[in-house]
Amino acid sequence: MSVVDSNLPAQQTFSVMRTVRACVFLFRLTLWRQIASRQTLVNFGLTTLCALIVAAWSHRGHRTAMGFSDYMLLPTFIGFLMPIFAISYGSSTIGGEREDQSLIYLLVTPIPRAAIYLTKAIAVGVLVALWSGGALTLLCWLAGEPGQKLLLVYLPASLLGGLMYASVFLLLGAMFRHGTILSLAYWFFLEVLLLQMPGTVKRITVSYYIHCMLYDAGSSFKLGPRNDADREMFAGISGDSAAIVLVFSILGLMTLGSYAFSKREYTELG
Amino acid sequence: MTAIAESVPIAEFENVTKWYGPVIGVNDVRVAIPSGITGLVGTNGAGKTTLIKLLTGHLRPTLGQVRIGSHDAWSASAKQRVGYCPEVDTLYEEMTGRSFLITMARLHGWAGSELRDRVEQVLQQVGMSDRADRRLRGCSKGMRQRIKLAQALVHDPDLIVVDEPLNGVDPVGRLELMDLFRALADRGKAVLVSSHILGEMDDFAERVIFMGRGRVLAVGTLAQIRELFADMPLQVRVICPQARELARELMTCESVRGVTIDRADELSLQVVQAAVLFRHLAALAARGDFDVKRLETTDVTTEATFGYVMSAAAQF
Repeated sequence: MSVVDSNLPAQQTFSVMRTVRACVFLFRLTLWRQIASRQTLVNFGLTTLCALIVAAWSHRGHRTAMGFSDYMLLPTFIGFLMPIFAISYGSSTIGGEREDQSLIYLLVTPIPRAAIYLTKAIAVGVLVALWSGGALTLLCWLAGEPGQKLLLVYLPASLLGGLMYASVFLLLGAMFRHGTILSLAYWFFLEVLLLQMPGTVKRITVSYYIHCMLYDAGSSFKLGPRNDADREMFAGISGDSAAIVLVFSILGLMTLGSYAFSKREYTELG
Repeated sequence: MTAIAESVPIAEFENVTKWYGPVIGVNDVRVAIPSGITGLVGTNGAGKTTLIKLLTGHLRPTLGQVRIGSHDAWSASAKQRVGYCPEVDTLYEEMTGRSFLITMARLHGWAGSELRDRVEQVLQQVGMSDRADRRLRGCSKGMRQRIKLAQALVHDPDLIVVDEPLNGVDPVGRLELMDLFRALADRGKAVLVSSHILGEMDDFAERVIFMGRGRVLAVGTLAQIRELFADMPLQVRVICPQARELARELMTCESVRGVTIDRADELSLQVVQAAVLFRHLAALAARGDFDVKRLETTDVTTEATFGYVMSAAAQF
């Protein structure tokens, strides 16, 4: 064992180029580690299960876009698969590394913490968008004609909704211990329960804005509340407004997350 | 209690205090870490871990400032100059040792042939060149320890902070790693080694930071710190075939407070003014009266000095 003199520039300033290069590598590393994780297996299994359910539904005699939306896409995809994709990757990307303590190897690098968070958020966003878009396309394709009609109706809301959920769960994983459990609790108890509440309290849920976008885009297929009483209970806003809320919320959460991550002390690491 | 005049420090704690809610982690710490090997010693809860986390930018001080060169230790630019080998036995388990080092080098902004050369250099330094393609989850504790150390060196930092580096490393490996630390120190690097095995410090630490109850109790070489306890008799061992006769002779020396004949050729002395004793012994040996084979102090060790420091600290 010997020390070999390095002829390399030891104390270069960590230039912008080197930071960008390190961030690009971190993006690839995050994608690769998440794709190679057991979360991908779980997502694959659940997508297959939902695909089988849709395949079975597609053998019914009378199939309409409205029926496919109400009985298949809303409960299996919007209510289940999409949040699962976001939870599995969102909460494990920082939260999982924190729990297994490997986050320490990122925090010793000269990449600014805010850049670490943003890079990871983008990588998670790409993964969740790919899974959401891919799974939605598969389900719609399996459903035949009703599915093909609804694919473009569902796609924008699915992508924005997936990204929004991912932003929420990434933040929970970065800020709190046991982020996955917190994310699941948030999804089950807040998203599902509050969406059913009358009045404006449901407007703090992600699901509300996803549904608003879907009902607006799918009005020609009569998606959404059937009668006046239901419409009054749901008190929807326009799809464009819902999309704007989601986009700004995603940007806001990413900004908040990167700020909080850059200030957070992880006392348990090391 | 500070016993050493420092060269230009690579890292500095300036009156640093860290609170964890109502609990104090370190209290008004003022210490500098120059190049060379510095040992960090203290009991559980002494504040060693907090000190290390402050130095590696994992924690921010509640009061004061931790600086790496001219940078705040929390800043990204400071981290370029610091390598950290944590105690926790976690790595990117799915990777091989080599791919883990490449990953860490890339995260430090290295690329191309520069990166590959550097990774191979570091693997050679830690003695893992021929075993670097094994998956980390299948590696022994000693191999994992070497890879952890390698990732701390891969970006060629000025300050290397190693927490319990010799855990799980076999005796030959320990010697190799100690040689590596010495070689790094020879190249002007600062190496801060935290270890609860005090005997390890005797072998390689040039200076020691003793911590207790969140404070730095003493800093310096062991001899310098030991000198601070002038009122505590120094333990001296003498090997001489004429042990009984020498004991009788030394009892007349005013600096000797006690003599114990341990074996037929071995004496233990308690001495208050070592220099007086050493002159006296030299004179006896020069006259040819006694054949002094060996003369050594037995309590200028980390363990013994730590005992004195802790005893002194307990009085406050």
